Formats: sequence, C-alpha cells, structure tokens
Amino acid sequence: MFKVFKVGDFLILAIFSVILFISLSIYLNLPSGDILKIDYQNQTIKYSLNQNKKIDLENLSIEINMGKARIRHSNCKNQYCVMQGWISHINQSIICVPNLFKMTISQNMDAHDSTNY
Amino acid sequence: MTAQTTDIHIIAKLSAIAIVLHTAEFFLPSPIFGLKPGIANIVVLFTYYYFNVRSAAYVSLIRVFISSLILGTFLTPTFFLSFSGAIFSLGCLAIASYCLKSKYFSIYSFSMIMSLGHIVGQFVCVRLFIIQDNGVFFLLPIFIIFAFIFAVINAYIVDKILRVAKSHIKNDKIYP
Repeated sequence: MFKVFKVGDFLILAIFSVILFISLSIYLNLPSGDILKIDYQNQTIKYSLNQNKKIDLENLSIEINMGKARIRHSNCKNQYCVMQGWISHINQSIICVPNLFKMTISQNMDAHDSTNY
Repeated sequence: MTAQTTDIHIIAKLSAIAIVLHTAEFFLPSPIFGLKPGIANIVVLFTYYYFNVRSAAYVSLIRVFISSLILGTFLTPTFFLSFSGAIFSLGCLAIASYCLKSKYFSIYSFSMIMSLGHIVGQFVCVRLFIIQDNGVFFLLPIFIIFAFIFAVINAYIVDKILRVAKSHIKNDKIYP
C-alpha cells in the first residue's frame, strides 16, 4: 500500500518532462527578429536590424550590429539597461526607466507575433 | 451532506497550520521573485489524502484568504496570483482525483499535477491581468523545473507524514 512509486507516476513524470522540453525548446529556439522598435519621448521609431548603426538620442545611445542591438551609453544612475547587453530575439526588450525608454525587437510583419511559434 | 464536528475541527486545525506555513514562507528569501517552495501545499495534499477534494479546497482557500489578510496583501496582485494558483491547482487535483486511480498513481503524481496546475494558473493570471505581454512565458521553464523539484520534496514529506498519521489515527480513509 505504501510502495512509493507506482506505474502512473512515470507517466506523469513523462508528461511533465515533455511539457518542460517543449517550453525549453521554445525558450532556446526563439526566432530572431529584424525590426528594432524604439519607444522614446512619446514617439515610436522603427529601425532595421540588418545594418551597422549607432543612434544617438538625447540621454542614451544605441548600437545596432547585424541582427542584434544594445544600449551603449546611458546617463541613468544604475546602468541596468547597459548591463542587459545584446538582444536579438523576438519580443526581447530593454527598458530604461529613468529615461522612460523602451526598445523591443519584433518581426517584419506585425500580424505575426510569438504566439505563432 | 454535513460534515462531522470532528472533521470540521481537523479541517480548522489543518487550515491553521497551512496559514502559519504560508505566512512563514512569505518571509523566506528567494533568488527569483515569486519562486517559493509552496510548503503550505503539504497541508493541502495531506488534507486531500486524509479527507477528500472538498476539504482540501476548504483548507487551500481559507489559507489563501486568511494569510493574505494577515500579511496585508488582500486584493493586491500577490493575492490574486496566490488565488488563481490555488484555484487552478485545486481544479487539477479534482480532475486528477476523478480520473486517476490511486492503484496506479501515487502521491508523487498528485503533487506534480498540483504544482503544475499552480504554475499554469499563476502564469495565466499574470498574462491576462498583470503583465500583458508574451514575454512572461520566458520564465516558464525555470518555474516548471522548480515546481517539479518542490513537488517531489513536498510529496516525500506528505508521504512520511501519512505513514506516521496512519498508525496514529487508525483510519482507512487514508490513501483512498
């Protein structure tokens, strides 16, 4: 009666690990995006990610380097946005709260988002 | 169907233990925000095995409401996260207790199903009401891994408690 593991436990364990595997594979194989969307000072600007470009804004500067983007400099106190490093996958974003800044990577067609994958 | 007075007493005592555990757990430090071992679910799982799903629902919901009143998080996002997690895990427990026979599925299965339901409920609540962005699902693998670990630990503890309780209480309702 008190035998610890039973047959069904391994079934549940298998289902559990399948769910874990699916979520991990979604997590690891995110599609890389090609549009960088910047929300700053009440306006939205879009840049293509397939270029080498340095963008200087009022309080911070952004660097785009062939499919990935980062914040190079910022005048905020904690520098969390700079320490985030490069982002390249869809729906990844960097925000800088002191400067009210947000940049997100998205795909070219707005109709498709990450729920399609 | 009215429950026996002794049953109500035991449910009240178990709810009190669950409230204490949940309140103590609130003050534990955690490396990731929201990552908690869920030790109050030990009591819920014990109640399920000792009585039935209905009593487990009583204990779980009383725990959520009263401990949120104690901690001062009533009707805050923390409370709604806790509440949705409890509702989903109880729903999963009810479905599992209806579908799965205890001949083939032990306490570890029920614990894993409950913890997975808890995580799913919390993520649904977060996605719908708090952070309306698909980015929250990036945290799902981490939470699933820790849900599995803590589910196994909790089930082991409940198993030990039930072994002791069985010799003390002399009740055949344990392990229905």
